Amino acid sequence: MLLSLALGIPAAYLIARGQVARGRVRRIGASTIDLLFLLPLGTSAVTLGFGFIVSLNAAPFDLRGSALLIPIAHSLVALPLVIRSLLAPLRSINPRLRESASLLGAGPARVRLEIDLPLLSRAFVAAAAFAFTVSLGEFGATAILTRPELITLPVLIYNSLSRPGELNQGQALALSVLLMAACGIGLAAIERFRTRGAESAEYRGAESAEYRGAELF
Amino acid sequence: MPFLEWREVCRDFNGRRALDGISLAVNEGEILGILGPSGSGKSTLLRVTAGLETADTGKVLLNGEDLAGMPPHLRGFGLMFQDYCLFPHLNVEENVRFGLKRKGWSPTRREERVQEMLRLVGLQGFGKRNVLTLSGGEQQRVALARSLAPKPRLLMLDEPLGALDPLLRENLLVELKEVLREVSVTALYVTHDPEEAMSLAGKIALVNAGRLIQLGAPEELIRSPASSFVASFLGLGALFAGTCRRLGESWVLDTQIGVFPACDTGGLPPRGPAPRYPADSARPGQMLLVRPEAVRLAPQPRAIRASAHVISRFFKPAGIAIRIALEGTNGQDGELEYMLPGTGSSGAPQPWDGLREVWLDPARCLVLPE
Repeated sequence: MLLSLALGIPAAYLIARGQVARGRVRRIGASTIDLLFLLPLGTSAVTLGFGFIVSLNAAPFDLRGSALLIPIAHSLVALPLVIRSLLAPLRSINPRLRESASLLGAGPARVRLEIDLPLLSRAFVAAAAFAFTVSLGEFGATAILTRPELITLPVLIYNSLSRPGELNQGQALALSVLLMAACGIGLAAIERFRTRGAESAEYRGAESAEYRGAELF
Repeated sequence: MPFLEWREVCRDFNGRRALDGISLAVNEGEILGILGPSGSGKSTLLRVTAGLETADTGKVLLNGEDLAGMPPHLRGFGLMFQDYCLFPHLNVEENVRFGLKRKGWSPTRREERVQEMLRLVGLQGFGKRNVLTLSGGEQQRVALARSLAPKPRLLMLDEPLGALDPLLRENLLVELKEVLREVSVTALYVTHDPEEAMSLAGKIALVNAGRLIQLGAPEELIRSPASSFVASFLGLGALFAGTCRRLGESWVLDTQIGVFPACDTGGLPPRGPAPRYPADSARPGQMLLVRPEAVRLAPQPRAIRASAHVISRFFKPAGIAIRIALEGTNGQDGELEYMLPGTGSSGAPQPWDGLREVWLDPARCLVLPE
């Protein structure tokens, strides 16, 4: 989740900036990057996982045994969703707010920190929610990449289900309940944080931006 | 040396000329009104001055120093947009304080400045309010306080009253004028409303299609508009196309509503672009401006008779205004508004009853280049 946010925020920023840029080249470039980041959605997650195994086997990038491999795969799957959910609110910020800020003496860094960041705080939470839930439920890529000592809940459920026996069946059901509970707790926490954020911000723009974000899915 | 100067500033947007060689200057403490129809490039001129856009060619000079390459946040200019652009996540005080952070002021000094600004715009006690709960007029005042708080070297206002309803607009216009006088800041006031520009600015630059059409004090623009465009944009009266020709010693203008002596030029050939014609030949492409004060309802010596009819009349605090159409021979009318003092007694025949003709005082008409 953190990884996909860390990648998704700058990517979305770049795309949003590029699409309103003056130069034709930059605009086309931004659209291309946008499309590129959407690609993981178009392929099966199993293919994705297989790709990881095939490509990450050479010396400097030999991550097959690394504990990082599964988080990396998850963030790749979540990245398009994170970018999508950030892009619309980012575009909806009135550029003149930034211009007003810069005329009041705020340099580019301060504009980002004091204008963009607070206005996007709710969108960040929404993006984090997407990354979290996608990661929790991801199965396709994980099933390929998984190792006995590095296993995720959905894979564990699958394993239990595919083995015969009353005990395994019961184990799978118990694990499903656990997964549901984890998901529920995560979503509830996000929901609570979100409403609290709304009270303090009371920003109509963010609401409409979120609405627009929701339309995408 | 002027405080702020534009030299031959040009700017293209996708092949469309937004600014086409604007040269202009403002002195310190002056309020310059930049007046023009929408799309005339006036906002672009502000954005170039603020550093939000760069000029393709030409220069913007501040105290003789080229501003090119200086980013907006270092220019120390204030800009107020039509939609105010208050920061929605900050309250009134925090909005006003935003521009003070970079200054090396002590927190108490900053606080004092914030309160001083809120007092200036008449919003004491509004400090903790959420900006989204404010009315349009209040938001406008917060925006003004926010722009003025860091003591900008230059204040730019882009249609500041454009989003308000007419009544509020008039009140705020008076307030804005007082505030600007009080802080005596050099200001650029962009508007498409001649009345606004005339009541606020000491000098007006009329722009159209990215070019400077006329620069002058409001009374100069009214007294001697440079072209028929200026006259029609300022709503100075009815305009008729005509041809100037020599008649004996002086010049006259043939129009659809009659032959007018070119009085304003003292009988000399009309002003305007260098004549393309031999000195004595007729000159087409002239315009006759008939000001409302030229209209007489009764015959007068030297006045020129013109067919006319009344379109409408409406009551105003100062009297009755009647809208008169002067009938051109080619079927094209020129309309103007004529004020009758007093309210008129009911029942008695009114001067506009059965009005078929008016008399025009040529001394109050003007011959203009098209």
